[in-house]
Amino acid sequence: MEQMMKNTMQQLLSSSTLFMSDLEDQLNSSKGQIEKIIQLINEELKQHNFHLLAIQPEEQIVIPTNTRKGLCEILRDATYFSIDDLTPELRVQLMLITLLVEKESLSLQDLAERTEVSKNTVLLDMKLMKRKLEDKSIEVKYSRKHGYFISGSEYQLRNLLVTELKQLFQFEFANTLLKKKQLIEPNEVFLLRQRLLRAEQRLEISFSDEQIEVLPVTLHLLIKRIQAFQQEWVPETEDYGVFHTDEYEAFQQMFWDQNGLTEKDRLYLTLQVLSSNMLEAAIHLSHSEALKTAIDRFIDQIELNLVTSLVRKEELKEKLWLHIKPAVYRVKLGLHVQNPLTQIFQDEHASICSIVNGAAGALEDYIGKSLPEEEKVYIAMLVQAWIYQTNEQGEKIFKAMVVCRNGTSVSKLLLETLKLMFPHIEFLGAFSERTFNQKETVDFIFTTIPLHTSQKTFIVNPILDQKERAHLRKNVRKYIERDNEKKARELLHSLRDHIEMEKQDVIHEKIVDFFDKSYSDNKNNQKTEEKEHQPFFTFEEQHIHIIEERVTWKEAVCYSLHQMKERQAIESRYMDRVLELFLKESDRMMLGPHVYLPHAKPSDGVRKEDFDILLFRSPVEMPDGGMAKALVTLSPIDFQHHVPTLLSLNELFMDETKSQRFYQANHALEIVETLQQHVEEEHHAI
Amino acid sequence: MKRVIVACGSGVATSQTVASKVQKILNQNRIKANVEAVDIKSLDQYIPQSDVYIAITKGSKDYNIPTLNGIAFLTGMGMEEETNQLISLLT
Repeated sequence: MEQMMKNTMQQLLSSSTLFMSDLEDQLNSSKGQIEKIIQLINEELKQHNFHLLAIQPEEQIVIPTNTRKGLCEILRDATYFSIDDLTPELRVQLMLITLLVEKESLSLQDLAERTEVSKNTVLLDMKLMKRKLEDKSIEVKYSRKHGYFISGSEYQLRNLLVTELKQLFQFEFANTLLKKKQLIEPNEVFLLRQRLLRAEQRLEISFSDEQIEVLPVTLHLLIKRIQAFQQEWVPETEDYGVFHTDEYEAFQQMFWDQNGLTEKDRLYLTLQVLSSNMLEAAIHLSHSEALKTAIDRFIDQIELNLVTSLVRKEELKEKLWLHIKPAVYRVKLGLHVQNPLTQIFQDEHASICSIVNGAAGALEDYIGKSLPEEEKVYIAMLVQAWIYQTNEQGEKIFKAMVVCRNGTSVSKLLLETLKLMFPHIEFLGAFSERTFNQKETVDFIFTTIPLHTSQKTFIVNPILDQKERAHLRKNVRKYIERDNEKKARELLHSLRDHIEMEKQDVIHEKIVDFFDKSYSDNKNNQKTEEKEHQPFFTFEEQHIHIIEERVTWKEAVCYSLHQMKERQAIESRYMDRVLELFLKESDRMMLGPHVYLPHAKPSDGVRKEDFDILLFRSPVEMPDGGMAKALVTLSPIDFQHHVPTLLSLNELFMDETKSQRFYQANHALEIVETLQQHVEEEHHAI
Repeated sequence: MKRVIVACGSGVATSQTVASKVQKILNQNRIKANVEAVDIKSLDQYIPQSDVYIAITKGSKDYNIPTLNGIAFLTGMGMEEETNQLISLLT
């Protein structure tokens, strides 16, 4: 059920409005099931004071911004999900981390309390732990005096702590779990994170989102261990090649105020930072000509085996350098990275794996140690991404970007896979969650994590197998089909050779109108027919509101838009669009003296023609500085139908006697009458 | 026949209303002219074939044909001058 809830929330997050039938399709479930899930989600939302999801009569699910934020937070924070029932593997990890960072003696009873299981279960878990440590020359021991403790060389124990944490952080709830078990001090972690971000800026590098989350916790717990145990760490090699580099100096300073650290301890911590994956780095960081030569040799070897030459080789070398630089520290430190994608990638891309295996010697010679399987797979991912990448720069219709928590190789592979799948989409690149919002607006975002954004997102796995690729293609297609503006862009693109450049904008508009029109025609054929006989909009009490209190322009416009939404006249995106346009261009959206006319286009999410009139008892300042006495908010169904009504309203506002009657009305009904009378007179005049 | 164009950002409501209104005024004054609402993006291609441009966006660039203020027709402020000018331009 939890998984189902999670999937549903991800689907909900991926667009601003969707229909029940979409969810049924995408989740492969019955309507009843989905209604139940939505009910459960609403319960969660309610509990955390977010607005609820609502299913409209037409089975459309509306997701207000506030709800979107709520869904995002719920998905992120595992406290909302139960973390009380830990699996034995997780309990073992938790116990290991506890034993590695806390020196006070821990009895069987203590461990049972910490993991919230019985003593018997702890004893069983201990067996599992012993098996896990078997081939690591690390032992878990027990003495009456000291309780349980772990023995091994300090070097190995620290590395064990680091790898256990990396593994734990593959679960979204890792942070919450560590906090709940009081293993970490949130303030300390925050401080380290801030310092890391500052160092990032100073060195012009950027760590992956994943690292920014894991690294501060790792450093914090390592410091905790070092301070508690005060054991000397003996490096395996003296030569880490880090001294006198800018980055060593910068990272080293992060720990200046930590007591009880020796020079060597600081080196160990700095190496942890250096071995972390980066997304970007200024190349000047390197002094390592030797590494560059090794990469050159590696690429030559690859090309030889592929019997093809790779495009934009310099760029590939740069990316490889970016990845291998920290990898070198990892290998030298003996830190094994967990690459959850190893197996999947090896299965999907066996041939490239074997080619990289064959060429890896060039890199291993440089490092002086052999590369573990996981590291080789990361490198293979990068090379595979480059093979996907072609030099061809076809014409693009849409813009998109990729948001990924992982480091260079995974995000690059995802980016290139998507480029290959969608040749008509221009990809701006792969970005981290922290930076994507600073980029320009795009048509789609492909992301591996749920994002809090109003842009259209597709949530994808970092590695897409054949089935997932087909599924994603279908979903993107479906989305474009439903969006008239995008559909029009595609059509225009296919006709572009036959259309003069300067006419393209006009034709684009016309196509959108055409689609909009045929959409609404299909939708309510009868209603449109009726309307055609009625040039004027029929105002009723529900369309008119007298506002007694002082309000801002935004409150006023929002109020009207909500009324229209309630009447099923517009979609949420129409609301956003009107607010955006009105802020910028209120000076041209006028309908009479001191009367403003907020509106957007039919293609911005109009479902039927509607008007909403507000009469202000005290004038309201508009974005352009003018004072409004009334507001007429419009949702046009096409480019023409509303014009007679607007014209008629304009005449009314310009007529001294009639407008006075309008402004002096005590009740909406009086205004309705004034409007009706006016329309009748106008009608006769015509 | 003379041609008057009205343009604003979206071309959905304001320019359409101004165009209808201006057409009505011209009809009342028995002046024959075509009034058309166009999208601001396609303005450049309409200008050469038009006689008067009624602008609704502020600070729009200068065109080499007479330009009038469209908002005046909606708010009434300065409407008389704009109407007179329009009539003199078209007769």
